[in-house]
Amino acid sequence: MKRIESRINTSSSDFRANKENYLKVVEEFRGKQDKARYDRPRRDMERLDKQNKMFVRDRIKQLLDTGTPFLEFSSLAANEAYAGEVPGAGCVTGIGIVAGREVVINAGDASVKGGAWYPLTTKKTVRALDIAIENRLPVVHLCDSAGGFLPLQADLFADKYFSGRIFRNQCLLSEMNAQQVAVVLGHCTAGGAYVPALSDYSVIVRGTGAIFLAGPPLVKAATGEDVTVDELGGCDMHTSVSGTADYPASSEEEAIAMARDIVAQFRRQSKTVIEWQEPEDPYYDATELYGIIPPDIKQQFDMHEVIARIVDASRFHEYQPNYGKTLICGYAHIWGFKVGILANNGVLFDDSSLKGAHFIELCNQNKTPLIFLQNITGFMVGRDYERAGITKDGAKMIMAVACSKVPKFTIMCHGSFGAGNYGMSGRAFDSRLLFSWPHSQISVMGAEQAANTLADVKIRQLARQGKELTNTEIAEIREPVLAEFKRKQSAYWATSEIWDDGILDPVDTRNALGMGLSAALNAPIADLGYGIFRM
Amino acid sequence: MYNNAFVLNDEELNVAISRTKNGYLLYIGDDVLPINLHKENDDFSILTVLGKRQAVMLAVHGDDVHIHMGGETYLLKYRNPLDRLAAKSRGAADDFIRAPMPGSIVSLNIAIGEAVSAGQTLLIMESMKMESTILAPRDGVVATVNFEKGQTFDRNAVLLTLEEKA
Repeated sequence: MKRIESRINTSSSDFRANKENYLKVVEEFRGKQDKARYDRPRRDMERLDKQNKMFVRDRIKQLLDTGTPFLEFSSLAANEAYAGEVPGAGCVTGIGIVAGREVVINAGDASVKGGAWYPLTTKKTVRALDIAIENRLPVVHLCDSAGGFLPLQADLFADKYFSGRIFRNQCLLSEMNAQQVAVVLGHCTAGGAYVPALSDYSVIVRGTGAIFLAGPPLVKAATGEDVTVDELGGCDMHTSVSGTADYPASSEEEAIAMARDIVAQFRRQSKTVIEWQEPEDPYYDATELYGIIPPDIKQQFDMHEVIARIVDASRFHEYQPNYGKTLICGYAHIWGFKVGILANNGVLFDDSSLKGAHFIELCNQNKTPLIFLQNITGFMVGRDYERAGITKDGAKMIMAVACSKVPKFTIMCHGSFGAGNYGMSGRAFDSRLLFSWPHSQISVMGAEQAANTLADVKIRQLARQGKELTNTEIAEIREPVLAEFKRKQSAYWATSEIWDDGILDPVDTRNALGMGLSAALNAPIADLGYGIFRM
Repeated sequence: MYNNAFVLNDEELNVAISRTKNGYLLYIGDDVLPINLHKENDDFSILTVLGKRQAVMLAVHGDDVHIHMGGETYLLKYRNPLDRLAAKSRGAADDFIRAPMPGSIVSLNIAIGEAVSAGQTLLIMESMKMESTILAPRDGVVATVNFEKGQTFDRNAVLLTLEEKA
């Protein structure tokens, strides 16, 4: 494999200006992330202290093997929702290493609204368990939740992907031998009671842990029965009488140590074998990515330069280097794992779409996971391209992406607009993990184009009635659309809504992909199969 | 075969190795030499050539291999076969700078007769609301410029051509 020859001049004024700009972007992202992770009202932290409870981050730290990485998902979920009062959507999820095994961690954060489930809390939890299912990973649940947030129950209870899906996913995990252990560190009430009950193993802390379908006040209201928390669903009752929980623990520390010991009993998955070689750092420094990404979303950059700063030794075997050049396809290694990369270098044409579809088939043929690096304004438009069949060629690429059986990973590197998002394995196409860079933007079309389209429609409507709009009136139509689009196409909105699995500092991309690839190999790769490619 | 090459003192050495029961065979020109390299510790290795053993110190940085052996220091540069073979026939295809997408010229950053170096910005174009920078694929001199600022072009149109430096 040839090393990519970088054409970036790191002492040029463009590079330095880009870098200066991007360092600010990263600083803003880090600031938001730190705040969502650690900034809590004092009274909430004091309440935890009084209850003898650890902060969720400290629990996770005790659970993980020392010195191993934790790939956190959606740290900024719900950051743009609920007036910013539910940081991280009130839970922490991710892939970590426990007793030498890759596991998904699903931890309630009782420092946020007592760990109440908001609609985005259930969405984030369901997604974490989907990740466990897709990659056949064991799960450790750290349960501490006040239950569903009642004022918003209509948005979290009844629908297919709402809270019921958490329990459905737990059952499917158990069925596929992906084992689960629940650690009951607070109250697990109503639906929440099923998290430990449906786990293969459960540990409960004496004094603070409790499991019941209805707490004492609700029981009193329903039947008039007076009962204490401990009698109703405490540690000793459940571990010695009901058998709902398995192991009693006298403290959080003991419970977490016990959970580690339980995970150590899990049978280790034999991993799917793919091409692997000794890993090597990229030849080019990843921090140079800061100087490559232009501040203007309209400005293109050569995606070879990005690939060179993510893959082992910056080596890349480019497939069809001279055909459909607006889509780069080729093989490389990331942390030793062989991957196929598809990266945008301009809009998708008929030839680039065909190249992409063909390359995806090649990777499925030789069981090579796929990495999509998105910077896409869409498929080419215009008479010549429609006549050449741009739509059916795009459909071929989308068919190949959707039916691909190898693990897929998607990174939003700059723009993600229009149907190009689909062709490049957007959220709907089941990438095992999808991350966004903090400056990236995503929407059905660019903000300017959307505002102009809507203004155009209005102008033509009125023209038919013989009326004409003044410039001020046109601006009044455009401005609100523009503002709304800009807000909702930012990476922060996307990650708040959990359209991705989190925002990544570009320099962390290689490590995140390495962990994702390693985790993905816990599941087998299914046999080939496709729908009909429109020829 | 012999596609791997190292550059030592400006001289390109084409080499290949194969595995044997006791180590390796080194193919260099018409010669075939039994060799072996055994790592003693982090500091040095034992190199055996034709049964003769000597201590060597090695440091690898990218494609550069620094070797300290018998009181002398050598610098070997690895040349990838794909790079070497491509370099032999460079030019031609790289001389025609074609439009990757249909669009228009936003700015021209060079003039006819101007010497350019690989990676230098030749022009900026716009297509589908995106601005792309077209860079020089190699060192050369601008031979022709076929479009002016603001002019539109089709995909694959030759925007400008390069020629060898005189």
